[in-house]
Amino acid sequence: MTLPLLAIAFRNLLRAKRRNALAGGSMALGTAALVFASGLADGITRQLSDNLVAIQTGHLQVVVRPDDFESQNNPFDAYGQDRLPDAAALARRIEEEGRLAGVARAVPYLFVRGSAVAGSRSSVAWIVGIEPGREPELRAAQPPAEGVFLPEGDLLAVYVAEPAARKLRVGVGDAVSFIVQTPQGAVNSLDATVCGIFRKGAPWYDNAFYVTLGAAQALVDWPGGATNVKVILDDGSPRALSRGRAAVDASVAAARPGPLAKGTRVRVESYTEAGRFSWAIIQANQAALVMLSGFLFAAAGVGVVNAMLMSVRERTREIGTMRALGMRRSRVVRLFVLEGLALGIVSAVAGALTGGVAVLYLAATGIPMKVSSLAWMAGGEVLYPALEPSSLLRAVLSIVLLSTLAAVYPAFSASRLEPREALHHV
Amino acid sequence: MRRNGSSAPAPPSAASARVAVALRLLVVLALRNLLRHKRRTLLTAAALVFGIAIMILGRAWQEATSKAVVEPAKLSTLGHVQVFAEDAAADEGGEISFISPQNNYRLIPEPQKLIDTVLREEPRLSAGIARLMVGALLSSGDVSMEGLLIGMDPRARAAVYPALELREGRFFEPGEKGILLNRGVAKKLGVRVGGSVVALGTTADGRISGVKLHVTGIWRVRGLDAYEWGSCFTDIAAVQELLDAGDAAGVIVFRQKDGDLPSAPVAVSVTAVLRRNGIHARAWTWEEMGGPFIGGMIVTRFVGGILHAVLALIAAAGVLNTALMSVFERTREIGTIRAVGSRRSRVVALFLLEGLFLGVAGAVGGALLGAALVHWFSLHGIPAFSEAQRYSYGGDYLYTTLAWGDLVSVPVMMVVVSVLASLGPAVMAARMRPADALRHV
Repeated sequence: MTLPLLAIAFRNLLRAKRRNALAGGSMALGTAALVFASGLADGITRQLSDNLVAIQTGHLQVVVRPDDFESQNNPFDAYGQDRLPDAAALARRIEEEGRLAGVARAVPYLFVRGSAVAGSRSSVAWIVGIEPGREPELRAAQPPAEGVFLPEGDLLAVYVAEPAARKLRVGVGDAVSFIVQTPQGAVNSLDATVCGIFRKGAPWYDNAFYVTLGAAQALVDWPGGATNVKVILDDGSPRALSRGRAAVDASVAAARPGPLAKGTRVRVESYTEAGRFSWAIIQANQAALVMLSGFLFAAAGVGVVNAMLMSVRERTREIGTMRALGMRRSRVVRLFVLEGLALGIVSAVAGALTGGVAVLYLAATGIPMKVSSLAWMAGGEVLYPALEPSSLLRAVLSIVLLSTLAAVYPAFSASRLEPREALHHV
Repeated sequence: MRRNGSSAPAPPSAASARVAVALRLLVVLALRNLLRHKRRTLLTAAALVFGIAIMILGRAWQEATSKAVVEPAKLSTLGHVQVFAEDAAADEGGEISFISPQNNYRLIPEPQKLIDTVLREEPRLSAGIARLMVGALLSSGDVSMEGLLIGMDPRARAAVYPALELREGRFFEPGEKGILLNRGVAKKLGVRVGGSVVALGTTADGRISGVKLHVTGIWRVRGLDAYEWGSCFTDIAAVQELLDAGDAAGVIVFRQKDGDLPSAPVAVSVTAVLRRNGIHARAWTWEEMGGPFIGGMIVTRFVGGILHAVLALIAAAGVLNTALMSVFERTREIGTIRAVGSRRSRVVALFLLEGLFLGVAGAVGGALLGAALVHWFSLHGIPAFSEAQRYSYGGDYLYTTLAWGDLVSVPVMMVVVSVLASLGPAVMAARMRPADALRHV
């Protein structure tokens, strides 16, 4: 019943080529713009969250927080500041017990702020003690530009961010000393040799220095301790996240890490909770996109309603004929709504293809983020837009829906025509 | 034309009279044609009205969001124009980065002299403040933490940073080595107003140094919690002492008299002033020095620009459609006009006039509707329907303000667009051969 009607609807589209080409072109353009804009927003989202997961939080992290912890909304919030005892054992346990729940890896790391000194120069240092052999994500996110990634078990090696190396004027093989104040109040130091320098990425990792976990533990006098356990899951979908979280919660509850500093407790946080700063940027961008596309829809909707009303007007006689031949009002309505649907499908697909190709092209070449504020926002010096299937689908569906809905009023106005009068119409 | 006849008739005025008559005829014809298809004209004009109103509202929204984030940021940290030493980026990977405090090796000596010079020669700036940032270990009792000290000149604070407010306490005076803590730092260190903290730093030649600072207040910037971070404001003299840097600043922040003027030309001119006076420093704009939220705003503005162009094209498609319909319908009529001796140019003018009238009607209506919408939202606010929006609106509602520029520029642009859109159909009509056109059914 509907199928032949749909065929008629498609045929009708071809009959009024010019008008439908204009209305359809408008919508195709709108779809393309939408796909392109989501490509930018999704690229930012992906870069920021990939960085966050690989470098700081994993998909889930176990961290010790003060009872009255309040996020300060800065990029370093994710790092814990209190000691998580026996972190290596806890990580092993989470990894073993969570394997069936999608836990790929759990690794401890120790974060401490201090100063780095080389010769007469010094810099703020975010010192992170890691297990280098078990950090493939970190290595991929911050690959060596010179030298090598931190070698396993080398307690005297340090892997430095390029801006920090420049600031200290050190190269591979040069010595750097770290000075930190331990939580117990002592001032400790560590001498290390630069094993590698990694390319600059997101500006907020400009002061990162990676050493081995053992070296960092010695630096702050925390044998066996760490600040965070980073849990990497097989995939980062919300479903996998909640499944993984249940497993990690259970392991943490069973392991009962302790003793903890007074007024602190162990928390399991997802990367969206831990990285509130990145998340605020992502959300602000997405929210702006939603508003802007709302305005776009409103305008495209007016254009489509306009085209459809014109179409009804032009085909008054035809509608009269159909009605005179016994077509029901409801079918006339359906025919026009289906025309809207058909027009929407054709133009949304065309627009999605155009916008998709533009996004894929830019995803291959990358957009340089020259200005510092843009690099902060995009989480790197180059933005690679991303074509997310869900965004593509959302753009296509919303335009199809818009086109169909826009046809409803004109369809009713067509069905209300009296056959006799409609036939009289010139 | 004769040259000497003072009593000569005035053929130019006769000609212009003829043109006026012809023009009047064209106008009447165009109006009649538009009125002949009242419904179609109304529909197209309505589409234009809505399109223009939506564009005006969209721009107002964008302006308002960027204001909500940018204004407090400008008036509390970024200023409008920032001056760094010419080679400041040499230690920063070729890039001076927002909040990064570590360009302490490339300072600007005698900042006050630079401020005076720039203010004297660049009338668009109203005030300047010298700043020097450093990452330092802050401690109080047995608690300590790494924090960011922003040293600023207390004498210029009110003029450059009016948006810097206090949750409690008072601003520090010159010479008392005061510090304004951030809420988080105060909590972490367990210090209150009236207490003191010790800042430990490293001097340029590697010595460890310390300064005792008196907490006079807890600062905040309304609507911009993200800018609080871990930073604290203190007297620039204290930071200079900590770094053993003498009378020097890391950055000098200038505020414009008119904050709505674009800063890029001002920065260019400030750089020129500095060069003329032999000062090795360079000016940057707040847009370049802003953080991720300013970056997000730049992207939003870029995407908004694309979407506005698309909106304009969609509206143009509507006008084009109407114009084409009208050409096809009136083929015979055009044939008649041409057959009785009308020139092609006249036919083109006729159709362009129709587009113009349509555009003007839509523009006036759109401007009125847009102004009404913006006004309504300026009273009632656009509600934030997500956490993120609340964040970027700086509250539950975003209040738009009517920008006269948009109210004029958008409609004018759309009038131009609709005239351009009818150009194609007009030329098409003019190209018809009268004989063919008359035969057309």
